Amino acid sequence: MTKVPVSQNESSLKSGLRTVFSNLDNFFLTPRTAEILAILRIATGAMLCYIHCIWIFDLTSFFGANALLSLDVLDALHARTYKWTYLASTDSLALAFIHEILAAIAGVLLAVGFATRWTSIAAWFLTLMTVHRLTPLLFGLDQITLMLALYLCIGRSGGCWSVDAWIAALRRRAIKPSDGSAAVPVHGVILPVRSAKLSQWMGWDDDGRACWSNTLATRLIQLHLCVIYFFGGLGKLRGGMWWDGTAMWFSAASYEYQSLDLTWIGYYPILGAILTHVTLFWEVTYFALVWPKQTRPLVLMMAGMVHAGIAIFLGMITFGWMMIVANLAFIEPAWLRRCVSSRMKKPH
Amino acid sequence: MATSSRPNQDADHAEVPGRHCPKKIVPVVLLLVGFHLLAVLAEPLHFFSRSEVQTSPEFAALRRTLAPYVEWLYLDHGYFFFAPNPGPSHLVAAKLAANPGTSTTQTGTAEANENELSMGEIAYLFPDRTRQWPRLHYHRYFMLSEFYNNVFAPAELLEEDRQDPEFVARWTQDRQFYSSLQNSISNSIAHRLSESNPKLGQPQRPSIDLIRLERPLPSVEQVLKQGIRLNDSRALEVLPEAPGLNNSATMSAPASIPSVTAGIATENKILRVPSGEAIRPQRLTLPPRPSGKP
Repeated sequence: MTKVPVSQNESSLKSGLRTVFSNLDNFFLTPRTAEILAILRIATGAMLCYIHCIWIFDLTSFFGANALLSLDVLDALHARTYKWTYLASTDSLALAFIHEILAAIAGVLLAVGFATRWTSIAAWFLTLMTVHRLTPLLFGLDQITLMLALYLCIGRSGGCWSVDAWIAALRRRAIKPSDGSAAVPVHGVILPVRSAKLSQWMGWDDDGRACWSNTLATRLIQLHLCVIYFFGGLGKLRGGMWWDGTAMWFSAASYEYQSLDLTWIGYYPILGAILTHVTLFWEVTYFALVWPKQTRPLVLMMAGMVHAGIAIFLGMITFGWMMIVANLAFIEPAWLRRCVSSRMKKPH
Repeated sequence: MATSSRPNQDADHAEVPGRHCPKKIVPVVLLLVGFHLLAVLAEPLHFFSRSEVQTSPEFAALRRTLAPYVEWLYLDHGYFFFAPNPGPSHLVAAKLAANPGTSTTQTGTAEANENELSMGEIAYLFPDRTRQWPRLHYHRYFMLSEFYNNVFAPAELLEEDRQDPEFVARWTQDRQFYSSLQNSISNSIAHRLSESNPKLGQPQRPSIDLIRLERPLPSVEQVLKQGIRLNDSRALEVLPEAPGLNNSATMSAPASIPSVTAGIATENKILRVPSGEAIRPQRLTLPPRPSGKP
């Protein structure tokens, strides 16, 4: 056996590590533009607003002295955990009302992309506080929406299709260009944004360029989705109904979930079994097949169909919709730009 | 769609020059990313590695170490969506109970007004899509009823279980939590009923008994051949609160159930009360049952 000098071993190890580091750097931090994150921002903000509106709609059942989950129950439930929320320190209905109103407003501001840098954090934090107060009433919708809200805090999702982007464009027109030419006059209403500090603080100095934080946020959403689907699939592999092909029927036959009648599927047992198995194999293999360009469109199309089915037939339109939205993270901004520009060029 | 076999070589990145991460902080950012992804994995790994024998020690240690981060960021999910199998649904019925000193109308008396709730009647049911609307609102109640059922601890233990002190200690704790949840939900519903029906329960709030109901999943034959409807209330089973208890103590008569104004009442059928077979508090010895609900 040939002996390799220690220094050579070290150098090959170093170069190997450097390659890994460089690949990770490329994967997580290569700048990208904000179009896809902007779509996610709009959908997430709107959904957060809706979620909080529902809490407000039945406020006295969810908060206050007569809440379904009293503070005693919550204390016992969260004992020895780190699920802290200031909403668990008092049963004041007024505080809960103000909190929920602020959270709904933060959702709207996030959706329209106003001061996105701050409203994304506010929307995420306020929702997190609600989530820790009402844990037993939550389901997949809350998991996925909060996950998206968290990662939207990282990226510059206000970089396009937002009030921030609009203000930034106005600001660029209003500020005297460096070449000495005259500034374009704009409405007095945007005078305050001439302040460089304020603009920087609010994110109105964003010129829409690609940014590394957009990629980081996108990658985290993608990887988190892979984890969700992989373990979701593994969980199903443990169940007999997902193997014998009856899971689709029994999902359709659950009255509490049903929103549209899908029991006709019972007349076609082979169809039911195929749908069950396709769902299972798609979910288990999602984490691997969503990356290669040959399989990604198919995997995303499947995601769209499965979640649309959940939304339409199983009464979880909010959850199904947000899962479809989350899957958009796998679409490249360049592809979206090309689609938009080619559509705009088409003669009507 | 612009995709690539290697995600780090997206054409998009090469085309668009932009703001790059400062070189100095790249290692820190990547370390934080690694930490976060570990936290995302911690709960499902911990959840899946449980068995009746043990929880895999390395995943238990990982989950324990990252607990503050995982729990506060609400990353503690096992992602058991409709898994391992789609299961039966659970409902909670609130029955008006006898409450000394209240003016609750007695069932069957001549004074009973059609619009008033009577003692022994099911006054509230959840989830109920006729009462809880829109759908997200309904789903909140659905999750609560599933949670209520998941944390159920029986009122009594079987003789053989009483011999195991560890078992009894866990049961005591679980029972305490279940009872406090029961009180909390009852009080909330009682408050709601007295608000919407001022005559009810004067001078004090009406007393409420909660009944756990289960709707088993019907087979293809039952639905398509026998013509049983999914919302047929005859399929609803009243779950007992203690071993050997058929709930006759808490339910005055099955015939009183059809007077519910929504949901199961629309079927105008009686509920099937289970035979009262002994139930064992399996939750105490096994890992928590995954709800299978998204």
